[in-house]
Amino acid sequence: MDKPIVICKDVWKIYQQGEVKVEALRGVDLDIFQGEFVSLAGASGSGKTTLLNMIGGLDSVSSGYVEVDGDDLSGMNKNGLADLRLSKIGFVFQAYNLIPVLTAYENVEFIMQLQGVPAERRRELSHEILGRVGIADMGERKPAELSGGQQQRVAVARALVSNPSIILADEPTANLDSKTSESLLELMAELNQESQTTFIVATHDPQVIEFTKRKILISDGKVAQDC
Amino acid sequence: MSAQQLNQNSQSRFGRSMSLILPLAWRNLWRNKRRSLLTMLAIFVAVMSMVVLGAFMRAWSSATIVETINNLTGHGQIHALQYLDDPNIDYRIKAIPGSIANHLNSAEVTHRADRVRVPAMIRSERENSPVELLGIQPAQEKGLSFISEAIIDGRYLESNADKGIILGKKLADRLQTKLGRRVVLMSQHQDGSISERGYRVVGIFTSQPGIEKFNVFISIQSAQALLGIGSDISEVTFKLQSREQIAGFVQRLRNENSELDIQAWDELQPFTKAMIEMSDGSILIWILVSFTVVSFGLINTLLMAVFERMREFGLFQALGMKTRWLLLQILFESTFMMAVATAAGLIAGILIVIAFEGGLDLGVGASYFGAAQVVYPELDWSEVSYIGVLVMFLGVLASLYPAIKAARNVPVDVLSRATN
Repeated sequence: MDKPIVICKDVWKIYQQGEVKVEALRGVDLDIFQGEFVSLAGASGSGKTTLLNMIGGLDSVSSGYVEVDGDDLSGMNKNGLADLRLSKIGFVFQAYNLIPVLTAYENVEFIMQLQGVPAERRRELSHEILGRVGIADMGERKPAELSGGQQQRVAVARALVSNPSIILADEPTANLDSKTSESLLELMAELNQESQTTFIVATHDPQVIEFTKRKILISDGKVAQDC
Repeated sequence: MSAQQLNQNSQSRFGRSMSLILPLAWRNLWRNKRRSLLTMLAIFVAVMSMVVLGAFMRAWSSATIVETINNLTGHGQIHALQYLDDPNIDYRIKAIPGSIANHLNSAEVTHRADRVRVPAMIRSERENSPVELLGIQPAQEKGLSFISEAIIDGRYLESNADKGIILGKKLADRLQTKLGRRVVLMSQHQDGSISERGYRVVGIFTSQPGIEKFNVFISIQSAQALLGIGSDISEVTFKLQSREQIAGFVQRLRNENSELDIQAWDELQPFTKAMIEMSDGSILIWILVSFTVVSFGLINTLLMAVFERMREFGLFQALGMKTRWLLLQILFESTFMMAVATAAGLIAGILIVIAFEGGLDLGVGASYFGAAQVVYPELDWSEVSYIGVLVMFLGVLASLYPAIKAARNVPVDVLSRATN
């Protein structure tokens, strides 16, 4: 097997809440490979979102080592992490987090604009990806004019359009009904198959856990099970 | 695309990022229309009032200076030493020295008149009143002082030897006299005795209340004869081509002769000068007060806009937007707000000033303060530009605080807190 695209070695994250130290992650060791579709499962407060944030460079580790697609995150400053997220990581959030003043097309184009992709190419790719997630005819609508499922499809399209190495999804189906959730999961699985993009999904939704090929259970800040 | 490649392409990305940030900032501005419009309204009113108030205060200052100059002061005056401290017959000018006369005859001087000016008593058949007696050269006063154009009844003095007297309307009313009647002037003769002489009222004038009540005009030769001073005078009043020449001209005269008291209008009328300086200062205070109020409104609006969008800023950073672009986006929002409101305020202010260019009557009350009754506001384009640039600059400066707060304090994990 190739070198892992994500490497976590003895990752600790300790939050200081007043005088109390909260150990959110307690020595996580984990390797994830290119093209995997992985779920980070666990109860609320288990540390799965914290781990996702560490991998995404949204938060820094207290100790340990995190490497993403060959980049050691601990040696990166704020701008370096921003560049890493821009070039290698796509995010899908529970609350969709689309930019309310932009249309679906513009939301999808947003990252490409940050990357400096020319306008024509942006429009071409955004049409293509919105077609791929099944909402090409809603490209001119703003988020408030879309349903929850449609907004999450736009979010997936936004995460995918710049062809990242990894997509990190945090409870992507939490606000969706089961039918829409299934449809979204099928879409993500298809995209995973087609592009070999690595999907890491933090969830406690059994439907999602069941859907993923590799299931990592996080409990009390540690990897309790990996199968 | 690697991080290194991204850095190499940063320059070419600048233009593209601006094309992302500018429309985003513009749209964000209108997310809460009412709040943005209220803030813009405050900026609009402040800018408009700065332009209008500036133009009116300047017009008022200018008109007050003109009024002061026309009310007998001229651009400057020459007296005998001590006359201004004790304006009596003893302190008079016997002859203008040649060097001073040369300057007074130069092209810089457009008007010049000699006067006799002493305290006197005037008496009608019914009343009497203390007055200031002015013996004037009627022809030389034209264009120099108001008196030739202020006659509302009767006539102006016709020559340097005219035997008539001109009274202010208020004084005539007080003396219960009128055109054609005789009045008696009494003043101290140069020999120390009291000299008195009768004059027929040939003209009634109107002016500022103080002048109307206390100034009477006779010809210069009548005055000299009454006081027994030959061809001596109390003062020389002069007017130059422009006010900008006054200080230099007065200084040259002073350099020529230290035996005479030579003063510019603003030294002769310190109260007026102080009033004008106060009005100039009040414009500055108004600008500062207006802008302080606007700044708080702007900062408050932007802080509200920033705090309610912390999650969104976290998203931008999560998606890879760098801190400087976030900072710029918020600064552009305030710049747009400032630019639209400032432009509207400047245009409205300019239109208001243009509408009143024909003159604004401040009412008779203004003349009690030595000010002009009618002011003619004029646009000073450099002042308009200055206000525009200053407000824009200070506005953007004021918005730095919320922008930096947003850029520095937004935790990128704000997005995930609700879902852990």
